[in-house]
Amino acid sequence: MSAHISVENVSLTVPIYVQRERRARNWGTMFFGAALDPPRRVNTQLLEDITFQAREGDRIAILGRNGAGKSTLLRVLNGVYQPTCGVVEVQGSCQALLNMSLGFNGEATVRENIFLRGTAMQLKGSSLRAHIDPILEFAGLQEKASHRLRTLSAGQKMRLGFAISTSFQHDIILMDEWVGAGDSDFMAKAKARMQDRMGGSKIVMLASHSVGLLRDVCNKGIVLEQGRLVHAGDIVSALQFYHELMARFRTGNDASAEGAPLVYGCADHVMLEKGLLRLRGWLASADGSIPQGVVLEVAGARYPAISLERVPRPDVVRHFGLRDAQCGFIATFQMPGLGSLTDLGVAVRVLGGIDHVAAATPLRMAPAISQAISPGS
Amino acid sequence: MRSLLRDLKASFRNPEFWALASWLDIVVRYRQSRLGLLWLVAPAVIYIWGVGGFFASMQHRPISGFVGYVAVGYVIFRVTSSVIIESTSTFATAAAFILDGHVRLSDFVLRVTAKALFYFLFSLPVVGAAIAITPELQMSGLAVALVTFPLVMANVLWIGVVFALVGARFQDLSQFIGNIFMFAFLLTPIVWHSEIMPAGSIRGTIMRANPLFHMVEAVRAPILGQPISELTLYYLATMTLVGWTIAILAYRRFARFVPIWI
Repeated sequence: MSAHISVENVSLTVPIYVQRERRARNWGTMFFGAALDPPRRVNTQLLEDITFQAREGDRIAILGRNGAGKSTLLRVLNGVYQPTCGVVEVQGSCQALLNMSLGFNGEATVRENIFLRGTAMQLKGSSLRAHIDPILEFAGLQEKASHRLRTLSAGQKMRLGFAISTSFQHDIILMDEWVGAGDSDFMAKAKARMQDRMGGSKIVMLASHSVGLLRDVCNKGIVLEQGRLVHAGDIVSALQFYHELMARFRTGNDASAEGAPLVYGCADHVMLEKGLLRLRGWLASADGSIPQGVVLEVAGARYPAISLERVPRPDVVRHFGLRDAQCGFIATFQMPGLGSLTDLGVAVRVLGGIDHVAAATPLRMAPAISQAISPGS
Repeated sequence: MRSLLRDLKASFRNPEFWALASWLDIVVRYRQSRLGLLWLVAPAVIYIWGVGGFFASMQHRPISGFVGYVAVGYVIFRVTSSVIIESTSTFATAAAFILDGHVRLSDFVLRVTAKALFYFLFSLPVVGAAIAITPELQMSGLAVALVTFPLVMANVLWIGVVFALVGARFQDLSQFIGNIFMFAFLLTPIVWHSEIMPAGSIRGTIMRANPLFHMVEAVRAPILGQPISELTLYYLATMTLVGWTIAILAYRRFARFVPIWI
């Protein structure tokens, strides 16, 4: 049977309950206001007239600002929220990876919780039993199988949730952001598992702010803004549209409310001349602004770039659908006493951000760089 | 549009999830203690023999005749009250499952109903001991009770559905209901005899308006060798029909809002 998602003119209006706006002049009025004001019922439109189709082989990125309706749309596709009007048709088995570390009984054992979550996913006991050990093994919790779940750490619970949710192959995968934190060992395993599941599934819908990830995984994209579908198309055009949208809001001084935007980029080439270290690469941010911070971190110490020259990188602009042609950079660092590149050691990272202070996102390192600084070279 | 009857049918066909969930709810509560599942019996012993014995002597009745009366009343009341109290928070408790796509809401009502029935089964030995020493015990009445008890449970189920829906919308209901049931226990003839409230008096009318009285009486009267009054039969029949109609309509209208409310 072929998998298929069809969404036609879907709108979702929900009643929400808000407190009356009241200027609290002092603590007394604030407490009284909180206690006595009855909540008011307001109908809010979360999704408005959304229409799109997903066929087999589609990997669709859902782009949009916070609160644009990305998670809501995934919940509608999942059948949790029924649309107020319009038709949603989902054909094929569907697995949502929305909040994987929830839905456990804290006092029951790990093994019992696997059964609980498994039966909640409509699996029969017999087929589930064969999966218990692989799930425990994947989560690295074999020796914890008969411990109470509440004795696990948050990271272990997340691992268990991930292992359960991804242990079955489904036709359609709905995902809200990439897997959360975990140690690097588990993250590598989780990434491989996810890629395997995505490869095996017929349709993937992924909501994320991580442009690099979306570019890697998806071949199509839709952009939501205030519950409306404002763009649908291939991934590059969707990313481009999204960047332009973010830039529009930034000029309207709107983006500052959303905290630091995500930056991403890559360090391509490194060389040492006259005691100065020159690093070539590119750096862009998810909201379309031009990040200005590049910091070299050597064994925990931060060295901000003393100069940063912007250069055009048409190849990157094409690949990610960027708005800003000058996304490339040549950064110069002053590294006193550095005789050769191999003196840097192995604990070297290049961090990017809006400015030097905010630079905290590690950039991808091209193989050429790792090779240049590795002691064996 | 979700249909209650269709969902219930599917729930009964696939009982794994709610049966396991309710069983875990029960066993984890007693895991920390040495006595384990024996604790399940403790409340029944305290209520039937302790409170029952105390009230028997207070009303100058022989304890042998009274504990059986208290026992049946107590277990029926307990099934009903625990389903109502717990169903008001059942959707909120299961929010993670519901928001993850498990939208067959009848499962969560059956989860609390099954839990209450487990407790009921565990208290049966205590009840059995109490009614065994009751002089008025009628064996044929036990057979009648086997028919009326499922009827009572049918009512408990629709009440659970309605309270679960209302409790999802008004989340403070669960605390309120807990308090109400303290009062309801005293208002329902469980530790006192219904004979002392004759029909016609104001208190007698209040007692007969109380649905809990009729649910208890439908099971208790035949066991203790008394006929089920016509009023009780009509009351229960009407309640079943009206109640299920309300539950079906409410579920069809409001089930889709539950994920938004919780």
